[in-house]
Amino acid sequence: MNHNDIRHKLSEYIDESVTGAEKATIEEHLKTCADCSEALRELRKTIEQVKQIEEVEAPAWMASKIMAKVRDEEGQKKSFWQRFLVPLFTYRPAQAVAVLFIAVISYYIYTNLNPAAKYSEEPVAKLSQREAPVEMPDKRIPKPSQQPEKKIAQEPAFRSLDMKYEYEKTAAPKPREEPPAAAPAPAQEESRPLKDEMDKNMFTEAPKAKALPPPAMPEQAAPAGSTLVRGSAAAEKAEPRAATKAPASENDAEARQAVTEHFANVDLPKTMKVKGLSFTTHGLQAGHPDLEWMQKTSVFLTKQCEKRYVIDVDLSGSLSKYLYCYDHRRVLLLGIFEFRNDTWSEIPHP
Amino acid sequence: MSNSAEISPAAAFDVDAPLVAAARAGDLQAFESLVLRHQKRMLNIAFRIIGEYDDACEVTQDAFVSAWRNLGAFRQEARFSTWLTSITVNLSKNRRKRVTLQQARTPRSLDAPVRTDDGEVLPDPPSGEPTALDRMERQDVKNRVQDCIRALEPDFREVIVLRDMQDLAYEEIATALKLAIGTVKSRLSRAREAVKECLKKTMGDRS
Repeated sequence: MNHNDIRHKLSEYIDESVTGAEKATIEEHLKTCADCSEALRELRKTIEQVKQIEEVEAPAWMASKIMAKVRDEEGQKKSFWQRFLVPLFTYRPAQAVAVLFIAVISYYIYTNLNPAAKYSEEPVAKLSQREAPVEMPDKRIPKPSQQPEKKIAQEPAFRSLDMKYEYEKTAAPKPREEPPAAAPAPAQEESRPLKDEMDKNMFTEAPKAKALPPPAMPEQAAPAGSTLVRGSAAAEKAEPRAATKAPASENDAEARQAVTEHFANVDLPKTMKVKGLSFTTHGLQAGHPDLEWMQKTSVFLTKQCEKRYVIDVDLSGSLSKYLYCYDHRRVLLLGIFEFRNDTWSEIPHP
Repeated sequence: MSNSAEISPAAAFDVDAPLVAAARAGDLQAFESLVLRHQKRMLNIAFRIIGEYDDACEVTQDAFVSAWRNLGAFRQEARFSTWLTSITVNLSKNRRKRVTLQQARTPRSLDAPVRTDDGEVLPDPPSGEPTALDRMERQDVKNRVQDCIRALEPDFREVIVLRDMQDLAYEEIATALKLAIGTVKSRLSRAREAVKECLKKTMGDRS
């Protein structure tokens, strides 16, 4: 150990924490090194002074405050056990009552939620029920094989009509302020994929029809006049204008649009959605040339209607007529007629 | 090796052992006895590390509550007092850090009175004289020693507090501070040297 090492060991030397050999070396060095002896003296004095610093007293309340905190913790621990274990032994009847109560409430909620689910399905069921009588006469004729095809188109269209029906029924008592096109909007949206398809496939002249509204306008304004509706796009465009020009024919325009939409979205067979198809919607009022013979048909007589509409369909020269009933804002296909052998004859429809 | 300071204190008989055992079994009175036995020592350790009496009181309470909470985890490898010291030192160090941060963040006016051991005095703007030393010279030796300890770095202050003020053995200090004994020895040596130099400066030749 050199001088520096010994200087650093002096602190340990004072605490008698050095080994016997170290102690001997240090003491030997101290005899000759005045610096180290002085340093040792000062260090001893410093430690002495540090030890003389008086201790502070703990406040009288300290122990009781600590114990209060400890007891508080203990209380929390106990209440923890009370909460989770004691009820098992003491509050069993209360628990039983609580479980029973929850069970009853659960059953009540369950039974009240179920009808809600039923209601949401009901309009569809009702609609098919209402349609049933109209379909009855056709039962004697064998059903065509296009049933599955129709089902695909029918499903969304029925829904859209239901929605429309519900919506307009509630709004009916008020005088209508908004254009009629606003109300059928959801219905249009529902059938959008089908329409898109139609626009692409068959109504190649639709843009043209859009571009020439003025000739159609007077016809629409006239209450007895038949309206030329060429494609769904034209129908959408024409209706609001008719409404703004002649509010009296508002209902008529709305009905015509509903019928046209029903035809295009529901009743028009897929096989007919080809290029070269055109159709027009007429109101079947007194004086209409078709009224005379149509009113004698069974499908006409079986159903009382607010209004009847006929859609003239021309598929590359092959003509047919779709007779519709519009009653309380509901659209119903009554019958389909085809022009064969110089006469109109009813053809089966599902 | 005849090293008295390195005899394991854990191996030595712990006078607190029976009370600790009772307290662990939930005996609050036993724990209260331990509180009464050790509160002054823990308060002094906290006070010397933090430097503020009120903070030291709070920390001491927290240390005992923490000890009660963790009594189950105390494996009696060390003495109860050593274990308690360890808790107190840790809490004190954390508190001191917080206090120092708060003081550093608090904006201080240069003209505002400064709190000293003599009460509040107006700060003396720098003159030719070393004012801090001037003030210290007016204090008695004890205050100067305290100031010198307070001026130490926290790591050095801890060892000198535990060794020279609380008379803990090296081994106990090492356990309480979770340090190697060699580190304790060297820190203690440097701490004592620092205090010695500090006192020499403040007291001049009169020492």
